[in-house]
Amino acid sequence: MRGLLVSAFAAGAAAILSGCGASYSAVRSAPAPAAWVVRINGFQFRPSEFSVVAGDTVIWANDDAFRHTATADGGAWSTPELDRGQQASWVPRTPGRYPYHCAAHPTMQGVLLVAPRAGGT
Amino acid sequence: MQSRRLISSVVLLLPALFWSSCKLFQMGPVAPSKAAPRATAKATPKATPKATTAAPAAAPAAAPTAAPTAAPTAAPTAAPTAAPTAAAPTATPATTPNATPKAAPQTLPATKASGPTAAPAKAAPKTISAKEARAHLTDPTIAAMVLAANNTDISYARLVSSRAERADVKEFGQRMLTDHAGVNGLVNDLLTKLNVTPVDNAASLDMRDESANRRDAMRDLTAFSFDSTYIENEVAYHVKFLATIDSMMIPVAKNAELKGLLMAVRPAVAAHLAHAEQVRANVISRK
Repeated sequence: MRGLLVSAFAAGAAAILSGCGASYSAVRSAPAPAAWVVRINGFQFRPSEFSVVAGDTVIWANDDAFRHTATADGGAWSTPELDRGQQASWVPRTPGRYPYHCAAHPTMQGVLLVAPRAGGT
Repeated sequence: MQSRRLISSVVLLLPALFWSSCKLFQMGPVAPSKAAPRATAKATPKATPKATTAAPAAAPAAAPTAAPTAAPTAAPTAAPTAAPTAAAPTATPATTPNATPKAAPQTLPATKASGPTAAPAKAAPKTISAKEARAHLTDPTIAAMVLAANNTDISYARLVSSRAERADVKEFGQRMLTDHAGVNGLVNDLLTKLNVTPVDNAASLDMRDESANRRDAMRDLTAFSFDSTYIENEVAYHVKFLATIDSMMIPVAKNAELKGLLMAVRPAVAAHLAHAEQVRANVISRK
């Protein structure tokens, strides 16, 4: 009887520990999506190139006195024209390299690098 | 004996005759000399009105032609070959020397026009250094120059929708309308806030003259001839504007907010220049 109790306790403890371990590893492989801000200032995207993880939110905030957009080079996505103080966001789902520009001022260019989310999404 | 007396009497009479004839001869020139002043007195009043009427006519004609021809020739030649910063010193003397001389004849009363016109005419070809030119600038004149520069490009852009053929030229023109109107709004807001009234100087007046001339030249063009002329003009305009901002406006502006505004506008002008060069390359390559 005493031996049964001890083995049951040990199995329970192992189950708890293994469960904790499982949840810990899940957090590490799929962190919560983050939000990143790209500032538009002086007719530049700052930073002009940066990396995010698929599922993160990218926010473009316009600090310039002129209207700007962030528009994919192929035209697949675009923010509306943003006045000073306005912002718009986009959530990339597919990993890849996304060059973009301002539709109003094509010489303003940026690149967004989207890495796959660990654990797959 | 008688013949001797005759000879001696003739000898005595001859000097008398000679003396009397000389006296008559001397009186001759005296008489005309009295008439001469009458003639000259009549002549001079007639001559001077002709001179005074001719002088004012010459004066206004000389001033405007000298100013615009000097400015445009200097700017376009310097602009495409040199970088914006390099063009600055050459462009600034071209516009500013006209500043002081040009303003003077316009304010002179008509009666004084014949006299002082000689001075500006001599001063016109004189080149003033960028340092001297900057010395004449104040915040109100800088504000007037920014407004004039913006209105210049707006006036060009207004021609685009009805004359351009290419979509990229049309888009560029529309963007110039939007952005330069935006800059004007920013400048006017700041001037209201600071309670400053823009003051025209020769540089801002030259911009207006130049824009009127170029606008007239582009008005009769359409399709490719308009697209190529317009976009070439946009490149030259933005090179010159950028050089003026860098070499004159930003260094001279005293008010911190005006300086900040100019520094905020500068990247816009640089981006417009890069955009114009891009469109120009497309226009030329697809001829």
